[in-house]
Amino acid sequence: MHHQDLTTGVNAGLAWYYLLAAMLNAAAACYVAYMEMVSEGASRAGLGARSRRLPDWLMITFFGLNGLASVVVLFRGMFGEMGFTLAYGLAAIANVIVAIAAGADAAHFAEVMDHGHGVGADDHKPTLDDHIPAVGLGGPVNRTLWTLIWGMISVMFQAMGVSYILGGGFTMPSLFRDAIDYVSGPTTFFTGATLAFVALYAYRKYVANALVAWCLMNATLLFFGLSLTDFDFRDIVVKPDNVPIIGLIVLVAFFTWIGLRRAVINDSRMAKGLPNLEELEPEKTLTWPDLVYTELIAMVGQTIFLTIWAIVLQAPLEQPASSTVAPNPSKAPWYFLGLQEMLVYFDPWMAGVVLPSMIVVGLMAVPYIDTNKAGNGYYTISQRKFAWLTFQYGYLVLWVVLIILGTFLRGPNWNFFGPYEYWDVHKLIPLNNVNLSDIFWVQLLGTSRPTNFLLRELPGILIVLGYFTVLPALLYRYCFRKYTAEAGFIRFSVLAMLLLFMASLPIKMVLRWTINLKYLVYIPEFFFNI
Amino acid sequence: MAKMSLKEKLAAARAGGAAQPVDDASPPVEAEEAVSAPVEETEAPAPAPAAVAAAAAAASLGRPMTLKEKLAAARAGGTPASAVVAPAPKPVAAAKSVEASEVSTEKVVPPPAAALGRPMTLKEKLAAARGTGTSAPATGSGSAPVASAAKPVTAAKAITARVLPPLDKITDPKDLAEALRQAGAKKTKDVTAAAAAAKAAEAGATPAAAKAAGKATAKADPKAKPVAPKPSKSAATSENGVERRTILMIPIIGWIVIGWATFSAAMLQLTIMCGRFMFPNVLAEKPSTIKVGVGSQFEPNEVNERWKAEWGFWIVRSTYEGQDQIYAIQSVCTHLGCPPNWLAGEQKFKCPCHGSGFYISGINFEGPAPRPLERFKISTSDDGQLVVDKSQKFQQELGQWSDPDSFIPV
Repeated sequence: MHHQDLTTGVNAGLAWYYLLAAMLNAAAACYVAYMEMVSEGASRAGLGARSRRLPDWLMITFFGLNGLASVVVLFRGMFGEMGFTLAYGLAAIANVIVAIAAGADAAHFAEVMDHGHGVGADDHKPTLDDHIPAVGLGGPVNRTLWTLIWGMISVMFQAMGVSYILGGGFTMPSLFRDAIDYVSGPTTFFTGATLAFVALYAYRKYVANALVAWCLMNATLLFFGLSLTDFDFRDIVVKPDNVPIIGLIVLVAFFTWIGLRRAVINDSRMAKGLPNLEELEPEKTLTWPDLVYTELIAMVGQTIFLTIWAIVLQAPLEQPASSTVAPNPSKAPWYFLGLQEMLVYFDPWMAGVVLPSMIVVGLMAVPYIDTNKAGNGYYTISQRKFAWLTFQYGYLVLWVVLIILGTFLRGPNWNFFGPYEYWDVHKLIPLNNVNLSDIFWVQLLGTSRPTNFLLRELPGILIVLGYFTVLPALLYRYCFRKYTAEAGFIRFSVLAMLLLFMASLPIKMVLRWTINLKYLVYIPEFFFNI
Repeated sequence: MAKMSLKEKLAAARAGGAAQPVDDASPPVEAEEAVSAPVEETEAPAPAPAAVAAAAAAASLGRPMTLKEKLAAARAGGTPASAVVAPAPKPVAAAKSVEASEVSTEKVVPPPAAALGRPMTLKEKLAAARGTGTSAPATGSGSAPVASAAKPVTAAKAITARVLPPLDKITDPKDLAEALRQAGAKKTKDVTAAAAAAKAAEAGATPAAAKAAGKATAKADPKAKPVAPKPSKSAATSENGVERRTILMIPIIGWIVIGWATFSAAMLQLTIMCGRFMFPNVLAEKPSTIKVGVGSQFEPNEVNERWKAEWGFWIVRSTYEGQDQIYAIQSVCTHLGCPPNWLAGEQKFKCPCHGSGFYISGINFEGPAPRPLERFKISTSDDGQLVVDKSQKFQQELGQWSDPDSFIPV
């Protein structure tokens, strides 16, 4: 069963998608070319650049062309079939002009600098044309070079958009798609996410750099845009139910990055004995009216946004509920998809009651367990490595990534499907899960399982008991000796229990994928399975 | 800390109020006046007068005040402000204290951070705030009310050393105020209550009642809770009050009783109705048994889905433990209760929720389901048709599938 990858509607949608991508990159080029980045890193205010103002003619051209495009869209009846194309062309020209002008001006500024005409060039004071990066984020960037790079990417995106609007678009190479489908599976996906998380931590200094982050964002934009040319990918991603998850990815990525960046800057500053960014903050503001008014405005904006969203993208109303029929796949609300994924690996009693309770209780216990006083009121990673790693792994990998997995990659019969794979109800994945008692008695010892369930499950019971007794002792011996001396034995015990419960999820997942393990302890006589 | 505790504020306010008669050398005051004065002072640190002081300070600065300065001013103004509201006989004293508050405000406000040549950090700010906080009382000691507070407090210590006469025999207003203060320091709330009583009595329009209330408070034992009589108690000592109030209260109490009784009755009735709702007169439930036709109509290795949608089971004819059987499997997954689907191509039941899989026999083999699907009771009726009874289940893991009721041999 194969659907058409590109239709007229898809082409038009992708064209506007690339128009926005081109606009973003043109804006980035302008930022590097025109903005005053001298003070970046000197103060918090310096994090947001103050404008050196774009040239007036550029502003007038950009907004004039886009305004003209809006007018054409409004009165598209007068232009016949070419209305949208004409409007698109105007907006595209505006993007290209901005990108090229930024590049040309950046080159011009550099030339002026070289000739020594820059303001204050003689006494080597920072000028508008210098870039002083935030502490810890590497050296100053070559503004001319990066303006040209962003400008070129902008023009490239715009060219792709134009080709789509003219109907000549291209799709993602099927070789690439097949390769991705082939390697993707719950194992690779989850392991990849874990590795990416470790890389995020290890290379945070590079990720915090805005240029690197912007490169990553461009790559994601391109990947997403090309993926949208695939019918099956599009079918899942643009479902009204799933659109919020796209928003979730964008928001989580952005706020994780912002926090990471400030933490990296703060850590470098404090390593050099400088006050951190929060200490530079000149003045506190009042809750009333400053914060409350901001919240009020945000509330009104959100309400308008959600109302429009609800009108434009309507949630599908499915068939009436029936106790004998379930949609296939049956999915929990998106925020519980992580829990639903957990249910695949654990007994419902564990995944539905015990582990969620541990999550809630554990989060409540954090303030009592945490004896590290650093990081109070400012962003930091290096002073709170354990806290950052534990929380972000639990949140980003064990929660958000599992939501993404459950939303986009779990299809009919809760089978795993690659991002470009057709959701075939009859996809056959042989999964013969076995219990530990079977592995031990039947496969290892070659005997039949004992009839007494306690004896039968003894290996699993011993492993579980060992997990919760030997591992805490090892943790104490090798990792938490100092912490225990500081915080006391009870706090350490609670911390170790919570850690072990948290770690049990990835451990069980790995065991399922590697040796098809179903349950460590399997006592159906008492509905007790671990 | 910059904040004064409630006790300190009260002590200062009370001292300021009680000091007045001494300064005037005024004639002995009535008991109830002495009671009401400190009470009103306890309510004194209201935001409004503090703001007045702060505004005055701001005017002298010639620019809008920063948050820090406002807070400092409010803090400094708080204490003298109480003197402003206190019903002091001499307005001059109040004015003085206002002036003093301005002076102290200016002293308390920390110098702008210009000396540092950069904005202050949070740490420095906190340090500054803490510094002014502790130094505030010191600089403020120049102001009238605080100074006067210091005096009586020390005086009070001296007085407590000697034994005070019983309250109704005190003639010296100083002693009376001191006795009341000792009592008041024990329980500020009681003082407020007494004030309310006194006010209520005054509102009662009879000066006699007011005096009685005052006496009642005065008569009480200073060691225990002298100024804490309930309004009804104080009224009980006055005969006139008792009669009037009782007469007035009778209809009110009656209405309250009727209201609560009605409410309780309604709630009780609602509870009974909810209970009754659990036992409906008619139960529109399907019968638990259904005839599914004669056994010969089922093919070998067939899963008949005719009864799944409405009745929630499959009729399966298959070989289980070497025997050709017809049995009814309940279409409810043993993991979390979703209805699985029969996939004829793969010859398995597959649950759409978490991917549990079951063989045609109902035995679980993949996914998280912990145990096999359950069978319903199946039997042959008199007319030769098979009858499925949903009221009885058979579980494989309990060894119940060998029960002859759980299948029909073919």
